[in-house]
Amino acid sequence: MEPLHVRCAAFARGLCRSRSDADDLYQESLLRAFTRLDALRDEAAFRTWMYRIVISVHRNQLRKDFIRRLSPFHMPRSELARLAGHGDDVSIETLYRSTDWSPEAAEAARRARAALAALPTAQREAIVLFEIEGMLVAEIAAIQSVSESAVKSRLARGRERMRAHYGITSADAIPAAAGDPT
Amino acid sequence: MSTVDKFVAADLVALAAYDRRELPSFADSLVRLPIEEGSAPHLELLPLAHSYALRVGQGVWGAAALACVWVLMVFMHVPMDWQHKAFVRDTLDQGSNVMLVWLFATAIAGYARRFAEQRFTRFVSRASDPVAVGSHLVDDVEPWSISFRIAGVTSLVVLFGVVLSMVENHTLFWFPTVPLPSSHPGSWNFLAADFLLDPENSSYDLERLRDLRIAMVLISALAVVIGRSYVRQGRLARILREARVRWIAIFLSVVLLVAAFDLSALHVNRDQSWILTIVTALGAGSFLVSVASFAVKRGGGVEAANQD
Repeated sequence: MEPLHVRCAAFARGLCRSRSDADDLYQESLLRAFTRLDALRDEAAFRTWMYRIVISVHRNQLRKDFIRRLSPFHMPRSELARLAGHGDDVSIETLYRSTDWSPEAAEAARRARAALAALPTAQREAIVLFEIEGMLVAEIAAIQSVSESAVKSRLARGRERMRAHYGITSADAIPAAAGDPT
Repeated sequence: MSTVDKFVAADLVALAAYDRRELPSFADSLVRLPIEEGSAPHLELLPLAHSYALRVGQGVWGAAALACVWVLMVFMHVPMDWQHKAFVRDTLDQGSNVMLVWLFATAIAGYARRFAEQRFTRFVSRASDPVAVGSHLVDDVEPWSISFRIAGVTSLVVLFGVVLSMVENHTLFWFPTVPLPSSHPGSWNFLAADFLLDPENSSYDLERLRDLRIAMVLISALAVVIGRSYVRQGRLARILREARVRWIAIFLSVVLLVAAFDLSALHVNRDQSWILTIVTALGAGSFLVSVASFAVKRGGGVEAANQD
């Protein structure tokens, strides 16, 4: 598992809205993987199996969001910031203050995170696996348990939504590069 | 990154770089505790106590519930003088009350754990994440967990028990009565008006009502225990996880238990008590399946992935 650690942990962060969410997701996925290790029939497929567990745990957590939002314990963001000592100011400049991450890079990452967060779950998974993790369509199809054409469709729709999120029209898009599945 | 627009691709590169910064080590990921060091160490007691309560409760109370349900089901329908069953019934009644306390205590412990973890630890790490987005900043470690299911089941059971207790104690007279005279024996009416209007001469068998209430409490506890402890994987778990199975079981349990309730409330001819036995058993079985199905639903995604 250790060789996969960095990629899987980063993949979890790509799926979630925050690092804390992602680290919880990754930890939960690791625990699930260890408890279900005996169910893995083909050791050669470990990587795909592990990614599938991350996706499954993530989807389970998303399903629980609906119930969570009804909880009286849900705390608004302003309250969180106040408790964290930031008053009502939760701007990115305030939040990045304690890190060595430049404001521009943090803003770029935040834009990408927001664009990914706006995608439906399946499209977000496909985009992260293809664009960030650099996986092949066939691998993504195996991980998401769908056909390759379905993955291509998710990628195309996901990109279109991201463009819309950024306010980019299709005419502005760069030509598809060689090997583009769509 | 070559297949999306340059601007988007640059941001994705930044995000990928950001997400690879300060990754927890592999060892840390395995032992990472939800409560950060130094933030509120005393709160570690809450998850520990909750976990301990669950383990002890599942083992001891599961066995006790199984035994009680079996004894109750036998004694409910053995053809003997009802007076001779008083001791058994009273014992089971007290046992079901203790079971309710356990269910509530477990649920409250779960709520307390969740609240403490959210309130005192979550916001610390969230606020230090500059690229976190969205409004769901408050998360929890074990949302919609066994505690919530137990709380839900318990609420239903307690509601059921409270209504019956009020009926037993003749304190339900504020309930709006409906003009259903006792000249309609056998009517499928949940709270028969003849009891409300004339409890002394009611056709309801209150002892059997109490038996049913006890059985509901014990079956609820048993179903939660079975669902969480013993049916986590395998073919039975896959069947229970089917939404269709869950909803059919819920429908059947409602219909059959209401039927059993009415049959037992009205004096059933002793010679026909086998009908009540069958309906009650089917209703209890459906109820058990539906609750166990809800309990086993959590974690289905991973096991579904493992099946391929």
